[in-house]
Amino acid sequence: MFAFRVLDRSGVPAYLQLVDQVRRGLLLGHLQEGDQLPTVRAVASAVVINPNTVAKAYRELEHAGLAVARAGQGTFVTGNIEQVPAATYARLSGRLRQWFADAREAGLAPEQVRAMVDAVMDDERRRETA
Amino acid sequence: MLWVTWRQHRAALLTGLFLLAAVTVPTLVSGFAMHEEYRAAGIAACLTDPEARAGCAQLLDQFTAHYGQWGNRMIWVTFLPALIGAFVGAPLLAREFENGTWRFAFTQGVSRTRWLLTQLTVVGAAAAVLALACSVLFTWWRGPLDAMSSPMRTAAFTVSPGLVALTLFALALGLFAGVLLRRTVIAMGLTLAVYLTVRITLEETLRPHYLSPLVRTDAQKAADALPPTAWVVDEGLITTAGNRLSDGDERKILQQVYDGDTVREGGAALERYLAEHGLRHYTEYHPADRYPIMLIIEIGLYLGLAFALFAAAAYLVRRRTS
Amino acid sequence: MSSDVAVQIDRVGKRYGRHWALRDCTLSLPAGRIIALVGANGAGKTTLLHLAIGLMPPTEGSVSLLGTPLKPGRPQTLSQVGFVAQDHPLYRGFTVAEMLRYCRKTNTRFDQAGAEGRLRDLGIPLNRRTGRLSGGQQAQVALTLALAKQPRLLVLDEPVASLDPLARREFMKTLIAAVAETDVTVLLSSHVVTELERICDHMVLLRGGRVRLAGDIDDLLAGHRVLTGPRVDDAALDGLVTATHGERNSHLLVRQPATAPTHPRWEAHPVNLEELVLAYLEGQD
Repeated sequence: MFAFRVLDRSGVPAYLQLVDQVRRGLLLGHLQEGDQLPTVRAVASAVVINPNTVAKAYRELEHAGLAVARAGQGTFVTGNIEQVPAATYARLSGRLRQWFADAREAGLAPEQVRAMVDAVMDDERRRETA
Repeated sequence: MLWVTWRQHRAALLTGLFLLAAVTVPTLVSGFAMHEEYRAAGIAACLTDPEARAGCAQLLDQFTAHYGQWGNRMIWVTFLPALIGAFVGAPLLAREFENGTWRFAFTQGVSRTRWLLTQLTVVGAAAAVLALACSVLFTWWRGPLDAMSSPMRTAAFTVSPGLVALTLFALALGLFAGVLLRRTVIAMGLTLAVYLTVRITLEETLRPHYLSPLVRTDAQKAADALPPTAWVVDEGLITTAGNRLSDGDERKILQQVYDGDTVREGGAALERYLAEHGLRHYTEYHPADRYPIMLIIEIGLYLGLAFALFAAAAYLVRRRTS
Repeated sequence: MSSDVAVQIDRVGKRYGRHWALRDCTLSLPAGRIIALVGANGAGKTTLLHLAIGLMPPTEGSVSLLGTPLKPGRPQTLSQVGFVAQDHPLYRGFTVAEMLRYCRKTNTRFDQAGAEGRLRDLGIPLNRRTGRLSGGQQAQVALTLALAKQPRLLVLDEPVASLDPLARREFMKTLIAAVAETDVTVLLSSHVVTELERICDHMVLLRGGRVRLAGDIDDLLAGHRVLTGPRVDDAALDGLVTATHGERNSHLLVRQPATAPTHPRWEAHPVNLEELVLAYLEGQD
C-alpha cells in the first residue's frame, strides 16, 4: 500500500502535500492504475493528521480525475497522468542531476538555481506560444 | 459508586480495624481482671453502705489507685475522632482537589451530589461503627470505676456513645476543611486545631451548664455529704442575704482567720468564723441520674455541628468550579 | 464531514469573584471535527472547556450540546462527554484495571473490551499502578478512559503539554485513530501550533476572555494575507490585524481574501497558521 508523509513547516497545506505525492507517485510509477489507496483512517493515523484533511485530499484527487472512490471498497488510482517512461526518466534525470552538480560547483545558491530553471521554462513556453 | 468508595478508603478502613483489634485484646484482659476484683472484693456493697464492713474506705482507695490510673489513660480515645477527622475526613476531598482528580471524578456519569452522598454514607457509617465499637468496649471496661465517681466529669463521658457523635463531627470538620482549603496537609492541621478547640471549650465551659446545676447550702462543707457519683461544678461561700462571695473575698477571710498559718487549728477556726458572720457553704452539682440527659444534649450538639458542616461541604463541592 | 453543530455557545460569560474569565462568548462548534482552542495562559481556555462539558454552569448565557441545552453536573450530560483534564489526573494508587472499573461502574456506556484492546496495543499492563506509569502512558490511559465512554464530544485540556515529542506523537496517533472510527467531535486546547496544524481543521482563538478568531483553518488562512511594502505608520487599512515596521518597510497582516486587489506598491503573501495565531494573540484590545 502507498505510504504518505506530511511535513510540518513546508508551507504547503497538508492536503496538497498528499495530492502531490499521489501525482508524483503516478509520474514515477510507484503508483499504477487500479492500485488501491489506503483508507482515510489508515492514512490519518499513520501520519497523524486530521482525517478530514485526508478526505479533502482524496476528493481533490477525484476532482482531478486521478482517483475514484468505489462505494464499500475504497479509493482506487486511475492512471490519468502520462507516466514518464522509465528509460526517459533514467536518461533525463541523470543529465539533470549532472546539471545540478555543475550548478553547485559554479557556486549557485538554490534560489539562483530555481530562478534559472523558472527563467528557462518561461522562455521555452514563450517561444512555443510565439 | 459503592465499589469506588470502598476502593478509595479500604486502606483506612483496614487500618482502623487493625487498630481496634490491637486495642481490644489488652482491654479485654485487664477488663475481666478488674471486673473480677470488683466482684470478689465486694466493692459494690461498700459503695451502697460505707459502713458495711471494716476497711471499706481503704478498699475503695486501693481499687481507685490501682485502676483509676488505667482509666485515665484511656482518655486517648479522645484522639480517635481527631484521627478519623484528620486522616479520613480531611483528605477525602482535599486530595481530589490537590491531585486534580476531582476533574476526573466529577466528569464521569455520576452527579457530584450522589458521589458525595455515597462517600459520606460509606465512610460515615464505617467511622460510626468503629467509634461505637470503641465506646461499647471502653464503657464496659469502665463500669466499676464509673460506679465509684461521677461519669459526667470523667472519661466516661468521652467513651460513652457520644464518641460516635464526636467522630461524625470530626469527620465532617475534616471534610469541610478539605473542600475549603483544597490542601491535604493544611486541612489536616486545621481539622486537628479546630477539633481540639471545640472539644475543650465544650467540655470545660459548656458541659457544666447543659442543665442548671442543683444548689445546696449547708453550714458544713457539703461535698462530703453528696454521693461520690455526683458531679460538683462549683463551691463557695454565701451570705444570709444570698450573695455569693468572690474568690478575692474568700481569700481575705482565710487570710484573716489564719493569718497565713493554716496548719495549727485545722478547719475549726474557719467554721467558727463563718458561723459568727452568718456565712454558709454552697455547692453546685449535678446528680448522677442526670447523666443520660446531659449525654443526649452533648450528642445533639455534636450531631448538629456535624450536619451543618456536612451541608456546608456539600454546598462547596457543588459550587466548586476551578 | 458534517455541518451539524456539536456545541452551541450563546453570549456566555463566566465570572470568578469580580474577574470575568470569559465574556460575551458566542460560538458554534461544528460536529465531527477536531477543533483547536488557542490562547495565552489565562485567556479563558480551561474555563471555556469546563463550560462546554458542563463541569460548571456559566454566569450568563447558555450552552447547548448536540442540540439540547446543557445541564451542568447532570449524569446524562456527563456521560455524553469524554474529558481528559490537564495533566490527565488519575488515582495514583489504582491499577489501570481499577481505573477501568471505576469508569465502568460510574458510566452508563463503557466499552471495556475496546479499552482493554487499546491498552494492550499500547503495551500498557492492566495490573500496573497508574502512579508507576510514564507520563505518556498516563496520558494514554486517561484518553482511553475518555474514549471508552463512547462520547459524542471529546474534550482535552492541554493533552500533550507535559509530554516529550515521541509520547506526544503516540498520543495524537491514538486520538486520530479513535476519531477516524467514529463521528466524535474533538475540542482540544494547546500551545503547540505546529501540532494543531496537522490535527485540527477548525480553530477558536481566545484573548483576554473573548473570542478573537473562529473558523475552519483553511478558511482562516485563505482569508488573511501579509502585505509587504514601503513603511506606513498609521495604516488605516481595512481588516488590519498587526503591523511590523522596518526602517523603510512594513509588513501588514490583514484580514482580506487573496483575491482582493492590492496597491501596486504592495506585495501580497499568504500567511501560515503560526503567523496568524501569533498575530491574533499579540493583538491590542
